[in-house]
Formats: sequence, structure tokens, C-alpha cells
Amino acid sequence: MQLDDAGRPVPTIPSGIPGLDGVLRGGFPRGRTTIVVGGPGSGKTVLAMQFLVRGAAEFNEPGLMITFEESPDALERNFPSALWPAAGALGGRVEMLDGRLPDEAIEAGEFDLGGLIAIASAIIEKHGIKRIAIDGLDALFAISEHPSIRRREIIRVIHWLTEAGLSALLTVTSDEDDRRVPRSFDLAEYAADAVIRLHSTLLGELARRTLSVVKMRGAAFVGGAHAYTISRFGMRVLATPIRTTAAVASLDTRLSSGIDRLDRMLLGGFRRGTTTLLSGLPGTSKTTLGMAFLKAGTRAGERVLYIGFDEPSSQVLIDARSVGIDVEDDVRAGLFVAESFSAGSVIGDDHFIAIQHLIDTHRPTRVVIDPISALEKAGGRGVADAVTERLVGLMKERDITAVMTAVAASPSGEESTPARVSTIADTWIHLSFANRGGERNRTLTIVKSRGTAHSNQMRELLLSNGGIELADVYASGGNVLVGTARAEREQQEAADRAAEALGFEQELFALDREGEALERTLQDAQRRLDELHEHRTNLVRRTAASGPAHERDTDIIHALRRGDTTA
Amino acid sequence: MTVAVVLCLFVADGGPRSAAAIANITVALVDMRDRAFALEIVNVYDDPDRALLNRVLVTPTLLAPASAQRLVGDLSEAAQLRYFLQGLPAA
Repeated sequence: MQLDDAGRPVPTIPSGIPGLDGVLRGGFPRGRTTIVVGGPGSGKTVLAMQFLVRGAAEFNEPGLMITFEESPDALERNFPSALWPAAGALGGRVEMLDGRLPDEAIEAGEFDLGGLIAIASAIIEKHGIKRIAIDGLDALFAISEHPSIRRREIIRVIHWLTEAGLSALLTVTSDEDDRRVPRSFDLAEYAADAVIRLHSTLLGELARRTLSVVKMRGAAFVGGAHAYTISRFGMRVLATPIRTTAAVASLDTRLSSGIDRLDRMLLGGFRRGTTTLLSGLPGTSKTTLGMAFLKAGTRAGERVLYIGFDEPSSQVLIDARSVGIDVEDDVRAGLFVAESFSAGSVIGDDHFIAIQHLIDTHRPTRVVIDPISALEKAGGRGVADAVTERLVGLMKERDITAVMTAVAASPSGEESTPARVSTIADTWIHLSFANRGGERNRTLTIVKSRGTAHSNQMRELLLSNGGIELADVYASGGNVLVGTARAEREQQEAADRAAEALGFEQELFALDREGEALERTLQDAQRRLDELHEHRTNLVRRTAASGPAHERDTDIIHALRRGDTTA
Repeated sequence: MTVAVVLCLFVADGGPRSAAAIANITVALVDMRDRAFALEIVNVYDDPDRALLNRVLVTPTLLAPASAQRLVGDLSEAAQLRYFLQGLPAA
């Protein structure tokens, strides 16, 4: 419970925005005014409408929306349809008041908001309004040449709202720089009980939305910036990801990976409710392993979900069939759902919301996200890490067993194993290539598996149209294990070697790429040098041809200079 | 017989701007006494329904049913007011 400065509880009301009440530690102050400041398009109107609609539907608190920028019709049309309760489900109602000044209004002196207050008061009394939102009030003052009116009237409105005991939201459009409140609202911020600011930060071409609480009178709140999204599900504030390091499901239920040998290496398969990172260079069959894991689920009648980035899911299904994983019937039966997204089309936070929605509607026991590393295109490393952490948390929360693939060090350097995912994943399996006897073979290593004794040995991964198999990789001479101590030491050594080999492999890959790049630079430089030489040769030739003329010019100049001194 | 041009002044009773608006329009109408005007004063607190019907969100607001235009503010800008009144078609 929130306590004010004097230790009394501060009454709050649920905001109707998922995640926001956590940030506010309760909700908006009850019977008080909260100001929401944000740039154009930051979602202030959606926030205001959601506050009213959810308030009416869930808490039976009738609401009043006074709109100064958009018509009530446009508001209803643009409001996320998923948020409108089914017809008749509104416990209370949401009234609309069009506050826009008719175009034909001409300012002829100072005015006040007496009309608005009189009209709204009548509606409030008639319908028993408890929640009110005043959206875009500043538009009303656009015609005014008296800046003082604006400040005076907004403070008047806040006082009126407080006297009427309404839980109110007042949205204010900030200047272009997105962070400052117009000067005339400085005083309004003092008058309001809570102030929330919506920000938009450009990350590449994508805008990341964050929200911060600037003020909450007499109450604590969670400081800092909190990511939020605006989608067809309305506004949602994403909870700050919590590092989940230990928290392994108490029930040690194992889910088959779809590959017998891998299950044995993992002592039965993946633990339920854990996330496995599957990393590897392009072409190491990460997707195939993911599909095998999902197929093992549908075979047991489980619902599963495949989320692909940057490759149509239809293609993924076709590719899987070529190695004996056919999920066509599962798709038809509604067990297997595959969705694909273009990673760079929206900010990572929006991907999170979309994935969360898929999980909530399909309720899978197994999820594959392929590749999670693509999230870096959706706002950069920071966003990718935060979203990955949220996803892992979500899986744990819903007791979902997940496999997330990651492209390790691709040539373009765009993608790499997100540092965060390798730390927070419960299990990390790395796929790579080993050159042996002139062949390039795929290999698999379990780098770590939290809470599970596992094999640290490398296995060869064999793909055929009959499926996937793992085979032993024999080191020359072979290893004979004697005694527990030796076995343990060797396992540790194997783990170290695997990690080291992984490092070498990535370094080698990077070195090769750098070498190629340098080679290209060298060739470019050589070409440029040749061009320079050729150009120079031409110039020398032409200079020689125009030599006499040049000398004549020089003579004239010399003559002129002499003339100057002898005159 | 001349029919008066109807004017309707919405005010929020008791405010300084309301009193100013009533004073300002009275002066203007006296100045233009060659034309007949019928002025009605509506207090929005007494009749909020009528304010809503006419979308009078700000006060004072001067409406003339004969015109699509409206004046908002305390009518202290005399030239603006005179121009508005002169532009109204004779009833």
C-alpha cells in the first residue's frame, strides 16, 4: 500500500494500463488529477481512452472523455478494437464530449472555460461520472493571443476536477523536443498530483517508447524509464525484466528434445519451464533442431509455437519436411502454430507484445524463437537484451519450455550471440562445423545446463531425410576413463576445451572475415594507385605539350612585374 | 415594421469576463441603435444543455443564429465586435 508523507495511505485507482500500476505502485491517485505529457503520436489519447474504458468495464466506474483534438467518432474508430468490451459488457458507460471549437470561432477578448465546466458538471451529475479524461486541452488555446489564459484556465480546470472529487487524466502535448512541457504548463504540473511523461527515442529508424513518472504526490513510484507499446491491444507498460538466475521448476519434468541421443546427453531432455539457447554459425541446422523439439511435442499431443524472424514460416516447414520432420497434420489439427515476423520492422518491445499475445491465445507448452539474435535489428543490442530477458521470464512464468536460436558471429557482424541470452538461458547448446578427413561436419556441444548433470562431449550431428542423429566424435587414441575423480576432471577439462574451442572458432571466423576485408581493401588501394599513375602519366604528357604556351605566359608576367618597378 | 436581429450571449455567471462581455456588447448595441437587435443572455450554469447544444465550451461566446460565425472572449476588441454585428444580415 502507498503511504503519503504523513504515513497515511494514498488511495489509488487501477489505471487500466497493464504494467503501469506496478510502476505507480498502485495506480493513479484517486480523486486527483494526473497529467500525461507526451509528443504528438506518443499514445496519450489511447492511454486516456483505455483509462476510461477499462475503468467502466472492469470497475464499473462511468467515465467522461472530453476531446479537443479529435472528434468523438474518430476516437472510437481509432481506439484499439481489442480493448472495447463486447457490446453490453460495459459496466459503467463512457460518455463523450466534443470540446473542439467550431472553426468559425473568432477571438474577441479573453475567454475562460466556464462553458466546459458547466456542461461537464451537468454530465457528471447525470451519469455519476467517476473517471474523466481531458485530451488535448491545449488545442483550445491555439486561437488565443493571450498566453496567460492558457495557464490560468488549466489550473482552474484542475481545481474544479479536484473539488468535484474526480479521478482525472489531463493530457498535454509537449514541444517537438519531446521532453519539455510547454512553459505554460509548468504551473499545471505543480497543481496536478501526478505527472507522467511519455518519450520517444529514435533507435536507427525505429522509435522506442518509454514512460517515466515525474511526480506522484506523497507516494513512492518506480523511477527511471519504462518501455511501453501501443498496439491493437492498446497501451501496455513492459515490466522491467527481473534477472532469473536460479528458479528452476521444482518438479523435474523432462521434455524430449526430439533427438534420443541428445536427451541422453541431457539426462532425459530439457527441463520443463526452462529456456535453451541454441547457438551456431549459419547453416549449422539450428532451425532443424528447433523443429525436432517441437515435433516431439506434437507427437505427444502438446500445443507448440514456432516464431521465426526474417524467414517465412512456410519455408521453414518445407525445409523441415526435407529432413523428415513433417508437421503438416499438426498445423491442420491446430497443435502447431507457426508465425514469422520481420525483425527490423518494429521495435523489439512490440515483438514482445506480439509473441506474448500468441502465447496467450495458443497456450503452447513448447516455443521456439528462431533466431532470437534477430531482435538486434529491432532497436539494437540494448533493446534485444531487455526483450530477450522478458521473453525468458515470460516462458518461466507460463511454465513453457523454450528453445531460442542465436546466430553466432555472422559475417556482417549484425548478429552475434546476445550476451544476455547466454547468461540467462538455462541450457546452452552450441553447434559448429568440424573439418575432419576433408569433410565438413556439423558438431554439437552442450556448453552448460543449469541444474543438470550433462555430457560435455562433442557429438557429430547427422542430418538425413530420415531425421537427425548424433554420433560420437572419437579423438585419436580414444579416452579411457578410470575412476570418478578422473572422470570429473576430464569432464571439467572437456567443458573448458569446448568453451575454448568455441572461442577459437569465433575468433577464427572473425579473423577470416577481417582477412577478406583487408584483402579487398588492398585490392582497392592497388587499383586506385594504378589509376593515379595513369592519370599522372597523362598529365605529364599534356603538360609537355602545352609547355611553350606556359613559358610565354611566364614571360609576360615577368615583364609586367618589371614594368611595375621601373614605372 | 423591422424585425430584430437575434443575438445570444453565453456567459459563466459571476465571472469578471462575463460582466465585461455584457458591458461591451451593450455599448456596441447602443452605438448601432439604427439597427434593431434582440439580445438574450444565457448563463451556462443555469442552462448547460443549451450550452452543449450550441457547443459553447468557452465563455463568453456570442452567437447569432443568422450567422455561422461566433465570437469568443469578453468582446473587449470593439472593432472585431462591430465588424461581426455589421456583417449580420438584416432579419
